[in-house]
Amino acid sequence: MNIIIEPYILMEIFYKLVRYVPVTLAIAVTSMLLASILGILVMVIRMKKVPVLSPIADLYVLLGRALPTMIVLYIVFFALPIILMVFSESTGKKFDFNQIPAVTFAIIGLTLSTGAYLAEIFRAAVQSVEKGQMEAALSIGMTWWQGFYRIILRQAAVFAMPLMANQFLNLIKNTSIAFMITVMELFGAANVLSASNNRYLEVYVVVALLYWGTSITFEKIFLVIEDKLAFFKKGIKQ
Amino acid sequence: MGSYFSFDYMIKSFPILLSYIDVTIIVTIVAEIFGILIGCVVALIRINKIKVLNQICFFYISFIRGTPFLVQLYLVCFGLPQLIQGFGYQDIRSIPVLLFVFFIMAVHSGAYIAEIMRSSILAVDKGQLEAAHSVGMSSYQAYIRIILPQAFSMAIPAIGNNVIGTLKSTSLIFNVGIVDMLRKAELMGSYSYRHLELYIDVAIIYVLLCFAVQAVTRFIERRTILGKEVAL
Repeated sequence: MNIIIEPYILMEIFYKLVRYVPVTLAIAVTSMLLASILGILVMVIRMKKVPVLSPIADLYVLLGRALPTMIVLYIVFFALPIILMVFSESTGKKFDFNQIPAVTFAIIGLTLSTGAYLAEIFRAAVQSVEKGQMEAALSIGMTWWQGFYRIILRQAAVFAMPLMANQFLNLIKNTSIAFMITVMELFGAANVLSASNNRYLEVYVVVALLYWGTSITFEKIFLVIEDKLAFFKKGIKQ
Repeated sequence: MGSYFSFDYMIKSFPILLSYIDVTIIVTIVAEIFGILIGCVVALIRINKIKVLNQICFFYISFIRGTPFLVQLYLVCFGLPQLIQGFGYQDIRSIPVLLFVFFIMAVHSGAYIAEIMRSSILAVDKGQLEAAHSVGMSSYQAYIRIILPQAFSMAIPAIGNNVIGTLKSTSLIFNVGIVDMLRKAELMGSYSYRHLELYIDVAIIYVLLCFAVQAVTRFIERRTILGKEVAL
């Protein structure tokens, strides 16, 4: 029986791959921030039933949750250059879209994909706040936006926090799909490395352990944050 | 915009891509069935806290939920043959890749279903198990005949959600050599250079499949309310 896994090789692979973990985290954090903004916007549009935008928002949430992340990334990757080409042709402005780094498409695609889930999460969170809160805010003279921002959003954030944490962990896992549109993040680097030294088992074991470790770390961080926020939680409390 | 995007090509290639849908459906169904079996077994192990297996199941669930599906897929489809080869079995090329794909998809959805089933089995009233014991049933009989059917009817919405998740995971298996719609879309795109139309077609097919799964889930839900009084 040959030696299947050598510890020295594992350490070498680990040192080569661990440099790419910050790339993955950067993509995930950027997408999460942008998707949160998008999610709040979409949720407000759906709740206020804005005439033209509301059906579009409904359609967006439906598609964003039904389509696999990879299809969204591919469509963004192929559609955006075409849109830019059409734009540059019709307005005459030259826009060199070959210079756009692939990671931009990955972030846009992941933002669109995650934003749909976050819009649903925020909708559930805002609906969990009692209706009386908004009426009370309006009755003392706040505008809808003031009432929404000062009263409802803060209470809804406590409810949404665990769900957003879960979505962030899913996002970290979804960044691994970005390697298909030639983004060099953790999984892409692993593929290149395993193709060059032909040690598929060791490389993928190390990559799996890196992702697992990152997920567990962020889980613990989110537990601490939820503990701190539990001070604001309503409900049966001791 | 004629040469940039053509509806003609989109409509022409739709039936071609649709004909590859059988691989997707079969992989989803097989993965879900075996996933439910694995999930029930793991859930029962976790509930009864059997000595060694409980820890193994805990790490199994944590690993599957903590790592991306793509990484698991590559680990099993490229890493496992190397492992098998190291153990001396030389003829790894004769093992079809589909077998590895079935295995990893069943294992992947099994972990999520284990959590779903664990919470729904715990939601069944404890008195049911005691009543079953008091009539003389063994634990195995009690679980199969009384508890699991009730747990299932509570878990159906969550399992339906999981089926949609598995369906979305099948969009990734073309990377390891399975010829499904996405591989065909890639091949067609590489000689016609009209990638966008092809991927929009694939997106439409996936949305239709999701709707179909949702409709089936709602149908099953309605048929298995088991006489529970619903608030509506």
